[in-house]
Amino acid sequence: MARYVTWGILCLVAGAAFIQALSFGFGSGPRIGSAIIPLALSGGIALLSVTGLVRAGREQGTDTLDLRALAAVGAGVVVFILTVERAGLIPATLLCMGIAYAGQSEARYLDFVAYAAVFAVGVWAIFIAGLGLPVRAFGG
Amino acid sequence: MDNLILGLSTALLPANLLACFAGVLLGTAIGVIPGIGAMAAIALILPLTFSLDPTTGIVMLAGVYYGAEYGGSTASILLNLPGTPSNAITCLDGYPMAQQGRAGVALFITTVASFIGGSIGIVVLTLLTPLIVDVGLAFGPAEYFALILLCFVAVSGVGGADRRKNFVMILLGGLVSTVGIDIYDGTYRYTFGFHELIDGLSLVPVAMGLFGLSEIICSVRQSHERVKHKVTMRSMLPTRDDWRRMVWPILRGAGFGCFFGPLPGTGPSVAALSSYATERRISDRPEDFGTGRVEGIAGPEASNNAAVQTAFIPTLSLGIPGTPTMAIMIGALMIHGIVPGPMLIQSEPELFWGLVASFWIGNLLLLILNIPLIGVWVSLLNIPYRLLYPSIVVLICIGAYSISNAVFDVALMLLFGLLGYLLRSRGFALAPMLIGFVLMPMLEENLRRGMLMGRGDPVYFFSSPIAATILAIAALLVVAPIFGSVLRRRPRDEGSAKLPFNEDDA
Repeated sequence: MARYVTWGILCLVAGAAFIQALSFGFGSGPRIGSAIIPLALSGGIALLSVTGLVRAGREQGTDTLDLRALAAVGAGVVVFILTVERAGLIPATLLCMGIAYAGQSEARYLDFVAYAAVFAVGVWAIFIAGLGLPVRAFGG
Repeated sequence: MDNLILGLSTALLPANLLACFAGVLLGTAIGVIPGIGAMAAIALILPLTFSLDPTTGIVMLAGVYYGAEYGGSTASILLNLPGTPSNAITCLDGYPMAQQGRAGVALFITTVASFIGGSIGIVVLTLLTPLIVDVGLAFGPAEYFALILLCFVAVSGVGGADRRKNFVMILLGGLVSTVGIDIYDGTYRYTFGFHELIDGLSLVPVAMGLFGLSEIICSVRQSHERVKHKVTMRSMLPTRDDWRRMVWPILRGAGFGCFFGPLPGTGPSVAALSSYATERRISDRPEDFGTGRVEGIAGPEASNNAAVQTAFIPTLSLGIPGTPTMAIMIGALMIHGIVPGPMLIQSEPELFWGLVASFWIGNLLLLILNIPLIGVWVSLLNIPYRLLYPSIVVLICIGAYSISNAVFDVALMLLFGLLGYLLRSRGFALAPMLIGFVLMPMLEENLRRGMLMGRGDPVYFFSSPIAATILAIAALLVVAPIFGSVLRRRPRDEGSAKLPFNEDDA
């Protein structure tokens, strides 16, 4: 099923990009417009995706996604985005690491907490103190 | 000679020397960790170079690249897990050597082979690049257009995925690269009202998402055994027989690396594979390969490091990257305000020759560092991955954030990370997408310039003999596999006859 969905999504995205590209300028013979390349690319993807859909049944590949890893790492990054400018780099680092850590199944948190604390201090030392990244360690 | 002296005087500046040292050290450390390749290593380190002088920054990134290739063999030998794709072949004989208690010897041989292969690659790079620059100076839009098309066709054959998927990825990468304002007519393409997208998508979040974050998501559940083999300085010394058996494979491997490195779509992995296959074929005891043969690690390691150096030839002389890692290097050069191409050697001789000289210094540093520091790399391998990966996620986030100190780039990185993971899980290779992303703007620019110069007549692109030849080669590369598959299919259709090819060669 996933193989059909992937080709289907590609086909839809390319179709939408193609329609959007129709609104760009076409230009003339010597001065080709900004629409030509996007039209050619999205049209090519759409065509190849249709052939991919037709032949999807014969494809190889895993049909399963590691949803736990995907959700944990994705959520960790989202939390980093939400907190780095509001709470500071060190809280964002600790929260991101803690959430991403949930992506695997081992529950040994003690050594992880110690490691994360040392790592957060290292991040502060390298990026804020060393390289002058314009973000606060704590607070927005 | 004057050029080399200029290069050495640039490379030996304290800042550049320090950057080279830091680059090879970080590259080796990242290369040692299984699963994180040279591309992710460069993408991770790239933001750290923003505040550096362009030459210093590029010297550091190049050090990361060949440092990662050096370091990649450590996990191959000690854990049977390749640090980088091109080191995968080293597992075949390196790990059996470790199981026989010869891990130290295997690590020593890979270090020496890498050094010699890298050094030969640098000589070829030094001699060949100025010659290709002379040819490149005569190139116009037609030649560049043809060359980029050839690159796309060659790259569509990488990664083991089917060509249709690779073509889709090239086109998708190209489509993503069209986001932003069109400099010719001011049209906003696919910006959807986001002012952050007006200047287009930056390479860093795209590369970090595709190769960094998606790789982490794939490998979160990976667990590897701890290194059981004790490696001491004394245990690293090869026997006289080992020395005798490694010399010719190293030289042949370097030859393969020098040949495949500059070719688009091949790179270190193909070079290493070809070297291993050749050593096995010419050996008087091919059946022993895979049981711990010195030739099985010496040849491939020399070849992948030679290829790493010679891959810089088309990148620096023509501005055309043959491999995805070189595409990131091109992006890095552009971020630092340097336009790679035939003019680079004339407009930035300090950078060009300084970079070449830094390759020598970096290779020497790796030789000096890798042998005494092997204990450090082994202890790095013993850090549980469950602790390592959350910290890598944070480093990726900080790297993306530091591009313009905005969370928008982190969000873009996440988007490409998720996209990369989904595509990867469905068997799509991500490397062609990056090549498409980097090269499509160049293709579009040369297409437009060519159409203008040809007064709207597409025949202009076939008018130059060089362009016509390159286009003919590209067409041949497209047609040959189709023709080949038809030929292979025919005997089956006519009564399932045996294939006319050795399937190992396919």
